[in-house]
Amino acid sequence: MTQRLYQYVTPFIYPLFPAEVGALVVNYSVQNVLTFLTAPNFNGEFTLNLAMFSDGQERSREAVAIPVEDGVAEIPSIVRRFQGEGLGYVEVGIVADRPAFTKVMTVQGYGLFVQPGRGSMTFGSDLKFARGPIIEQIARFGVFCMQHTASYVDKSRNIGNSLLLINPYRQPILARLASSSGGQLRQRIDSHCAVMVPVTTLVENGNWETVMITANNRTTVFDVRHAYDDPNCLNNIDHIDFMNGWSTHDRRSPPRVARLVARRLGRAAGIYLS
Amino acid sequence: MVCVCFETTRGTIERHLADPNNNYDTLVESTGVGTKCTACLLDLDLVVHEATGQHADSRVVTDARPVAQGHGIKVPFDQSNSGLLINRDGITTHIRVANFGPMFQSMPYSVNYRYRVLAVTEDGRVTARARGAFGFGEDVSIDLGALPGVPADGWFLFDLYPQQEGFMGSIRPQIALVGPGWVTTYHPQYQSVACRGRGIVLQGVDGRFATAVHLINADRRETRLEFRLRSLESDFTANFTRTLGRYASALQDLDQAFPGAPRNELLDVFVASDHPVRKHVVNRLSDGAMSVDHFPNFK
Repeated sequence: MTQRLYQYVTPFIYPLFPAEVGALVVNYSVQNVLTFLTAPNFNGEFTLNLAMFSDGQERSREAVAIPVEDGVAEIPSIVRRFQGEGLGYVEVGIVADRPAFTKVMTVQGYGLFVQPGRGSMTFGSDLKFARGPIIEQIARFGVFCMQHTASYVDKSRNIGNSLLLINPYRQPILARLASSSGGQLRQRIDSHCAVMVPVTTLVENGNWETVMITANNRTTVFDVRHAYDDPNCLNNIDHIDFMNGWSTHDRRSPPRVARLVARRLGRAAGIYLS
Repeated sequence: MVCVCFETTRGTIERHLADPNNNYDTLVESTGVGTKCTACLLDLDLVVHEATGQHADSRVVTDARPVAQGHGIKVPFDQSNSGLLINRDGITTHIRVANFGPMFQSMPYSVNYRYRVLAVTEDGRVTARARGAFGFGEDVSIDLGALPGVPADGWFLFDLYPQQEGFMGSIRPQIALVGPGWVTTYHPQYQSVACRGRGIVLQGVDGRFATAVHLINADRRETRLEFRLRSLESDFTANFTRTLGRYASALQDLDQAFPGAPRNELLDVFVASDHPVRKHVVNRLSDGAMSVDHFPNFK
């Protein structure tokens, strides 16, 4: 049976902040995509597409042609710096000149956010579409749902927290946010826009809370930690989790079950830590 | 007109929902509203909310059944998470885990959990333990700094044991480092997806990287680690090697490891090891706040 191949890999979405806040650095490893997702000794041409959206407008777009010979990319990785005029996002995706990829998902892309005079922070990007657990979630629960388990604000200690909602699609999105203490909020995100939503109206001051987000389409959400009195003074960016539609159990062959049981017994007896 | 595709008016929707035997699902089934071009979903949501007090996007299938993937014998998925632990200089480490259904709604296949926490010193000794349980609809905060014997620096294991089959749902933990005037959170990873080699990008600010790589060797064997630093903007390369004992961890400062590296260039730091090692990148900001993320996994 021939393996199904795809012509594209799902784009990564990176959050973009105004230039006065800092710069986004994206390093896309073309060679990683080749190593994990194509047949050995692949020959052909990839095109890496990089687009920057800020304040709802496309501000830049670049297509980089990358010849591949015997599984080696002429340009193994692409590095670009982005600075937005306002809030936005950067979308980076790769297509081949013919079906070439065994999966549409690849190793998570990482970004670097550099704040002059303050420091840098590393964070993982999110995927524009095709994330298996989200497809499974919608199939099982009939609803799109993201969740963040550790929302926290403390005004007296100047600890702030916001969610950055990004809509990289062509239709507007209406999102609803709810917290474990009963807070509710609705937020519209226009096409190709990003919106920072402070969680101060959702969670109680000084309490750890869970915040959930649903919407009429999937939306990309990042957790942003910042000073309470200055949302531009960032100290952490991270993607948030999806409500997972997978089972707590999986099925394994008898030898693998035996190894797992041995490992767990060893753990319980203190022979192994993990 | 709300839905042009199916010629559904506001009056049609309101009349349909006025019948107590009807609901949003029957509206969609009988009219098809909102299922073609989807442009009307925002307006539809407002009309449905005015008519019923419910949101069109709040439908949750609450009788969904979990499906165990793969072939063979059904066993609980191995949820053994590891992460870095700091308990000094006013910084504490907290584990947060929540057990809710989608949008806090109930599910017939909800799961209760037991958990186990081990706190391990940098030289590989388990000095603090805790066990507990929580049910569906609960969330838990575990302040590792409050456990007797917890080390100043090290790592932890957090194992989750589902008591019956259900959905994973919201169970993925979050780890919060709480400092004086800041909070940072990161996702712990399954120790089973630790890898032998992965890299991240790095750039100095004001002449310093202010970046460290946290390493966890959850294996019974000592491992040798090689850090390969490569500039993405010049020909600069440098290597640094170290070892890590069994069950040991370390916070490797990259300014100390690579004193001669250019701080103003973008660099790739690749960390390779003899056997799988869990890695996190820890950035320190000028005001002392931290940013943490895990290295990519093997998949």
